[in-house]
Amino acid sequence: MPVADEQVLITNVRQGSHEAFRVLVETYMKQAYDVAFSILGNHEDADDVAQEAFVRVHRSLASFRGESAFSTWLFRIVKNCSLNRLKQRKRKQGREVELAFADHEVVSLNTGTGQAEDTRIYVERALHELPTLQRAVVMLRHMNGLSTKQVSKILDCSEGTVKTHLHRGLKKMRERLQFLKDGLE
Amino acid sequence: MKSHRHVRKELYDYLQGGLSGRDHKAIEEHLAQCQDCRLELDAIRDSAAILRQHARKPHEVRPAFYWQQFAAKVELKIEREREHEQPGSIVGQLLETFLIHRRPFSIGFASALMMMMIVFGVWSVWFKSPSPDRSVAERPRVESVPMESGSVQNTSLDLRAQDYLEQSKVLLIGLLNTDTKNLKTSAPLLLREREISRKLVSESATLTTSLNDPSQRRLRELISDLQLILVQIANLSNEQEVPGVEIIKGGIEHNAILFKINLEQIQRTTRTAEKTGGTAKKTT
Repeated sequence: MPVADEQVLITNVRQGSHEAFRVLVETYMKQAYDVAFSILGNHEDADDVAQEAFVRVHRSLASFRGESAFSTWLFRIVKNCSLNRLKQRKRKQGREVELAFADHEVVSLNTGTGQAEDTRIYVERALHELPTLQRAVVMLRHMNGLSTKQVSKILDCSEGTVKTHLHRGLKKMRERLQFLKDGLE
Repeated sequence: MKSHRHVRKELYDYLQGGLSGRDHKAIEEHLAQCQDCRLELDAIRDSAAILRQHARKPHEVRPAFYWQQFAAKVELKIEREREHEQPGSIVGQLLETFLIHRRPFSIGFASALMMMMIVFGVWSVWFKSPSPDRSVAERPRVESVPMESGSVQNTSLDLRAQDYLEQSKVLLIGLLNTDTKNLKTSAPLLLREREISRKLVSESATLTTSLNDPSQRRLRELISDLQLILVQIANLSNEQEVPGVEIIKGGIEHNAILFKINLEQIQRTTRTAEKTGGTAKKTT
């Protein structure tokens, strides 16, 4: 969305327009969901957190000064909400990976069939098993196509750190999926 | 000559063609002489290709219907938050905004607040001895409330909920019967439905907070589901009425809302009959 249009929308939301807020939500909801999932690795939590982030955006849009892009500001809120959720989850139960993967697998198994589907499950599992920060960087940078700078702003780390995590994450994926490549050749 | 570590960090951008001409050339020269880094490049290239080919973006897992309802769910949460707002909550919001966006100052602020609370606590313990009369006066007056008030309150709440369900049912049936092909003729009707929905949305917010009893869980969930649909009806815009109405119709059918309302009403009738039967037996 052009920056000028976005500014108009933000101004309208501040003046109480529901329509404008709905347009903002519908423009960014999928990306916000992806950011939440990249950190949480769980669809149920991503659903909750993405919604919660928009509620916060609505509440504190007055404090948005426009120093960064709206999307970056929104994704940082999503990241903060996701980290809070991670803390809560770790406090409640020490079985994050099992739960998250169970959720992931159910969704995968319900769609599609055959070898392509099996491959997808392996790939998504390998991605899912990466350490949180590596997974988040790989998903945001490679799968969602955000720039290194954007990812570094969202995740609050240097661009060098983003590059390092991306390299390590992709390399680890390759090690875990070696058998897939051997099978395809 | 760049170090291996530096080169490896840049390999992804090199593959994507995201480096400046000078940096690209420097990496190329390094790769020409370093087999280890070439292997790293192959690994990155393979992973990137596999991910692009086989992995879905997380949002793609969710069906289209989920995304059609997303904005309405957010609006519902905002609406609920407003309903729960108390006089002191503006201070809470300011505090939250302050704590989120001014993190470097928030620690100092929190410490100052803690100190004030400690000083106040010490002051109230040392200098304010509680008067026996005051403590009696401050005692909660729960005892004076008749024991049956809870059940009376529950009954009136139940009646309100049933009234709410009936009104919603009529509204949804009306909407399901709306002919989207001839929306011009249905326009006044939709206007009325939006008005009613707005009223029902605020009623549902009150009901969901008041229905606290564990036995009312299913009713509470039904009202929450209904609230979501009602918010969508209330927010129907003039330009998007046709797709909007179709989405809402889909939502009503997908969630089997009318079936759930009917079920709740039948169960309520059965419960009332059982109660009446029980009371009759006791009196005989």
